[in-house]
Amino acid sequence: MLISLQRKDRASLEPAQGSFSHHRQHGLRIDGRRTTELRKIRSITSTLSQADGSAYLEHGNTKILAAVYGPREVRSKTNIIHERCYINVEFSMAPFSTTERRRRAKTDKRMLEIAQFVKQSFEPVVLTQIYPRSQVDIYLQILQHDGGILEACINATTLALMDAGVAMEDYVCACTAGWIDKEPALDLNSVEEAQDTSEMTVALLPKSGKIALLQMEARLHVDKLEEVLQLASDGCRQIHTVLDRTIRDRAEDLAHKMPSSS
Amino acid sequence: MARLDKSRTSSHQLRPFFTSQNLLNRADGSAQFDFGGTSVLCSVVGPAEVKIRDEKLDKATLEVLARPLVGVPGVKDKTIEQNIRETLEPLVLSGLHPRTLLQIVVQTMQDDGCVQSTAFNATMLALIDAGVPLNSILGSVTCMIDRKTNQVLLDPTREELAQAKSTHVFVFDNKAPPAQSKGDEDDVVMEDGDRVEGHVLFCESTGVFTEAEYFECYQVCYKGVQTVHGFLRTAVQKKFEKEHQQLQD
Amino acid sequence: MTSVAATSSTFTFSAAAFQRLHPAEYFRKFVSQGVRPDGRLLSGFRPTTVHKSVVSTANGSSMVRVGGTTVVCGIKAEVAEPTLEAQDKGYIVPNVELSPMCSSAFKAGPPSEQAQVVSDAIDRILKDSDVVDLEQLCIEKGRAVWALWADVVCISYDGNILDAALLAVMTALTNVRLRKPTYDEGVVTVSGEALTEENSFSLTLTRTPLSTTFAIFDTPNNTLLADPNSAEENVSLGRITVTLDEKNQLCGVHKVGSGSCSPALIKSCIERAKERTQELRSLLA
Repeated sequence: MLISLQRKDRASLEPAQGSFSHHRQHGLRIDGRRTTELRKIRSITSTLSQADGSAYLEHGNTKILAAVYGPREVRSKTNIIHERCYINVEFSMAPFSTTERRRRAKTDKRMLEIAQFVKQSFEPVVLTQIYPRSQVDIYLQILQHDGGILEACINATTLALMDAGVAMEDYVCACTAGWIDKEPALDLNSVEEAQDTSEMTVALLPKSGKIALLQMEARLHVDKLEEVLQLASDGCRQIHTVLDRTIRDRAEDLAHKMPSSS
Repeated sequence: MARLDKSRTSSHQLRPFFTSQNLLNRADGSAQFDFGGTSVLCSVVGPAEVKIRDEKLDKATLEVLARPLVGVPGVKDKTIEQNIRETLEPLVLSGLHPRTLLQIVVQTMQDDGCVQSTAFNATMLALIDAGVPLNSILGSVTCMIDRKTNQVLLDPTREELAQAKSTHVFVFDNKAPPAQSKGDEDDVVMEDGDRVEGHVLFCESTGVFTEAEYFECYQVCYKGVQTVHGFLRTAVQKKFEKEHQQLQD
Repeated sequence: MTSVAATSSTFTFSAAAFQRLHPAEYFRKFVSQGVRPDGRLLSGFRPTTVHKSVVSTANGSSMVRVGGTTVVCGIKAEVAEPTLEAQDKGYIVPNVELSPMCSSAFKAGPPSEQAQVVSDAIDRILKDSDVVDLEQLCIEKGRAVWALWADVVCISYDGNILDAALLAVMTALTNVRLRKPTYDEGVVTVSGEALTEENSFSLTLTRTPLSTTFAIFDTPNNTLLADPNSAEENVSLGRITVTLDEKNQLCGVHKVGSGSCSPALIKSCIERAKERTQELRSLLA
């Protein structure tokens, strides 16, 4: 009997969905953004002392840490690739990062999938052939979750890899876009994501304009695809300027700290 | 001063000891140690082959596995494992058996308080039984401070521990403390003017207590451990006498 | 060949190579001069910073940096059934995570022994030293209580995880805000409205124990290194941890590892821990 009571307890704990008005007022979204507006992005590199490269990124209320170790000796012999390096991505979410606490197993399919997406996006971009028989470890830790996990993961990884000095062809910048209320919208937060919207994550190489990753799981009419893709790509370019600024600031900072050799 | 377990009359009295060595046929050494109703069985295997991952080039690898009374090993057992391992590592002359494994399994048989101390003593006897070279012998006792009476009770039972404000596990070795070479080390003097004696090898105190209470427990346990040391010595002596006799026959 | 023979008599190598080949000897050279490789004196602590309320999805949170060690603690509250032994008490479950992200010394997989031991140490301090009166967490006796999950995620590991993790848990506990729930015939309702002074409450802590760790570097001199970093932990033989509350009452003394310690040594640790925890308390306030 108590068990059934518990279920009730749990159900009533869910936030009352009615309190969040999903409809836009005066053309603004629930967090006050316009449809083509990104959330605020803040990023810093070299935040961790132990890792070879690291980055902390805040994308709206989503907070993520990325750490890169390597290129270093391969840990397990089965992973040795003779002509290039092996990229290992591990993704985890802090138990307190979501609204409802959930202990996620390391084998959670959703989490393994995100790690796999990150790995696949970076494998063609990192100059893996110059690090033969080595391993690059990328660890991603979500501290606070407010939607757009995959885009945050990719952007943070780009910064951390650059911070570690791993050779890359280009930045990889990711952004989401979706279709809400008959209109395309850029960069969805968790409330917007939860409303069964069709959301697309695009990772772009800004220099060549090539797409590194395109992921979508919900239905979207084919006529709208072009428009959403265009919006997401624009978002990626905006994110590129933000990431580029972070990297350049850091490089300038380092240059200042160097003893002047001239 | 009567105690909760009725069999003892003094607050500084230990429960009766019991030990039995060489109980297990397949282990290289084993021993059981009892403090009244608490009993721990310990087995030692080694020197044995070590996994390459754990191999140490200049000494033996020590592995301690703690098994609880019921159920599967949990977080509490990990703490006991680490405590025993880190205390024994400097005691065992592991340099004599480099690149080998010394595996110690500690199984709780009965729990009536002070399991960790009992485990320390059982491990010591099992190591001696296995013929592992050691540089000294350790002995352990636990004491607690009663929440109501503020009295220090040596070797408390489970019933008494439920009333504890703080509990203290101490381990002392049987080496003579190093001569006071440095004059700058001030002695710790208790309220009644006695100097606190003994050099502690391991201590784990939890709960809430004052500094004076801590050193009082320290002193009580140091005295208690002397009895344990005496008992361990007799136990080992008896066992060797018996083995010697068997060889003669 | 002749040049090799000539140089071998005056064979030298860099300090970095020396550190890798003979870490203990490298440290001994420093310690004999009364300093440590990172520039600290033997009794020096690393700079420590505390940030409160860093994770908005948690009921209480903190980020603590002790030198190169960084931990984030988030406390999430959940409505749960009380345990059979304590029908009117909630519970707090601390858990420390040491992932391969924070140091290359850790491997992926189930929690390491060290992570479990640190979690257990914090759990014991919370329980045995009566840090929180758990009756505050009762919603309806025998039916529903608050369960607080205190998860500590180590982001960067550079030694002395217990001190950092305990400081983070205590800071997070002080800024926990819980919504006042209503209980009605088996249904607990927690409103989803914005937090205000009226609809929520914070916890009253009986005491806030904080710990100070010293590494025992050598025997029989028992040289102590305060607040050891990861390299110092690897070369040291044992450690002494002293936990104190704000009234300077002891909440834990833990000595483990090689070298027998005199009572005077432990007393001196307690004295130095008093100074250190006073400093830490000014960060908490």
